[in-house]
Amino acid sequence: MAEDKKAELLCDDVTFLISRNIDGDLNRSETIQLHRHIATCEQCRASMSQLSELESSMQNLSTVYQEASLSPDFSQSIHDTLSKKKKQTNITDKTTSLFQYWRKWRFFSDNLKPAFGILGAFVVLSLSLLFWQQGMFEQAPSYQRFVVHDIPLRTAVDTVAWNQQHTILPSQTIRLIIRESHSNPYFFKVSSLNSVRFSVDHNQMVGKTNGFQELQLNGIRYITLKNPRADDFVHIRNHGAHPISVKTFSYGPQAIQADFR
Amino acid sequence: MVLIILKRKRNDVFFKHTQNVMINSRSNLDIAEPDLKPANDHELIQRVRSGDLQSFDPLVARYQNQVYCFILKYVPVRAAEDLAQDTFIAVYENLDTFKGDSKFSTWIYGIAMNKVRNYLNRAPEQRFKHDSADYLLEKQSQEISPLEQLEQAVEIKYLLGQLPPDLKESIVLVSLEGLSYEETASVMSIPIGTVRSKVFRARQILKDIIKEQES
Repeated sequence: MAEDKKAELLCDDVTFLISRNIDGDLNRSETIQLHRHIATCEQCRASMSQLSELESSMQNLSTVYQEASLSPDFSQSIHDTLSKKKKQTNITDKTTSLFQYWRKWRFFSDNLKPAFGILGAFVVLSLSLLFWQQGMFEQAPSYQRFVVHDIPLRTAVDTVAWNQQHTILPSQTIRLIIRESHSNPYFFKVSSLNSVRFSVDHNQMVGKTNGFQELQLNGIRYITLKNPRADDFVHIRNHGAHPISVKTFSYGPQAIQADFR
Repeated sequence: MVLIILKRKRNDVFFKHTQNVMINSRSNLDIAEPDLKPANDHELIQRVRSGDLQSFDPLVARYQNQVYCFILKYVPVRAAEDLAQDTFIAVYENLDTFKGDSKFSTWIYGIAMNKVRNYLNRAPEQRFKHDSADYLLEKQSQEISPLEQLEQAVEIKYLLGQLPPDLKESIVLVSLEGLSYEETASVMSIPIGTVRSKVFRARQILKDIIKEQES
């Protein structure tokens, strides 16, 4: 009696069984239960026939679709696409292996970082020592420091009126002796058509604000005496094989006396 | 002395070369032997896995129309071929993940299903709208199949479009593709009980819509 009660199904459960029955999902006892209920319930019978109709329409739809087919070249096009991809992957693999190599190297270099640091520092130190010895770190004189009446040298050399001009022959020395002191600087312009090789001897202090300064501008050597005093001298000796031209600027043409040795 | 070594080396190279030629000719002979038995899916899959791209062609040829028909039920004709192509490329690329627990066709269905879902997510309007590029409508205009049959098919297709996507997926797989509940569960990656209830609910909704239309 209890089993019969258990076997009795509600209509909602039966519709679920009907759906499963269409798909062949019922076991033997479920099938018996379903048929027993259908035999007595008109509503479920109607529901079953509706679902069967729906299913046959679905089968019809399925049949229509079965006619659809892809072109016979389809598999060939897949083949071509995959071959292309495979080639690309091979290239990527190579790149990956390069990347791995780089990673290995990075691992190696990371572990040797202190050693690389020491080596780098050693190289920098030795190079700087070498350059220092060669005098490469000595600051080149800047024409900005040469100021004549508040005019920068670059402008001054263009506008200055040179008082005297001399030519120093090879292995000759010119002695330029100051006769009149002055608070403003005197100039010497040393130039040649060829490369210039000469030495300068003087009795002035070398400094930024006072005394003797030398500057090379556009291949021409300029010498300034910031505070020229009487009996100061500048000797210029030509060591080259070509004559050198020396122009002087002073306040008064007799302020500098020149002779040769 | 050097000359003797060079001569020896040259002989070695020559010997190796002839050996290679012999080996090559032998392997050519092997390939030339006609393969009378069509290989089954498992054999072909093994060959593809070992790097033989040629063996993938028969697999594609075997399943291409089945996959195409399945995809056509969801998307317009113009997109279906592209999706079929994407599906087979994905099949090739993921072949190593196929464990053989389910049928190969079921596994392909799963991949195709994902491709369709991605497509519909990008173009959700395709879900409900009847596209002019719909396979059935195109067929109707060609009038190749019996018109009545086509009309009924169009109507059912339209009704299927009214279903929520997950219900549509399940009923298409079960009723149209003829997959078992178990296979459908595997394709959709859901429990078998959920498939049963989804198919049931889909049928109920379809039945109700038809009833409404009739009344």
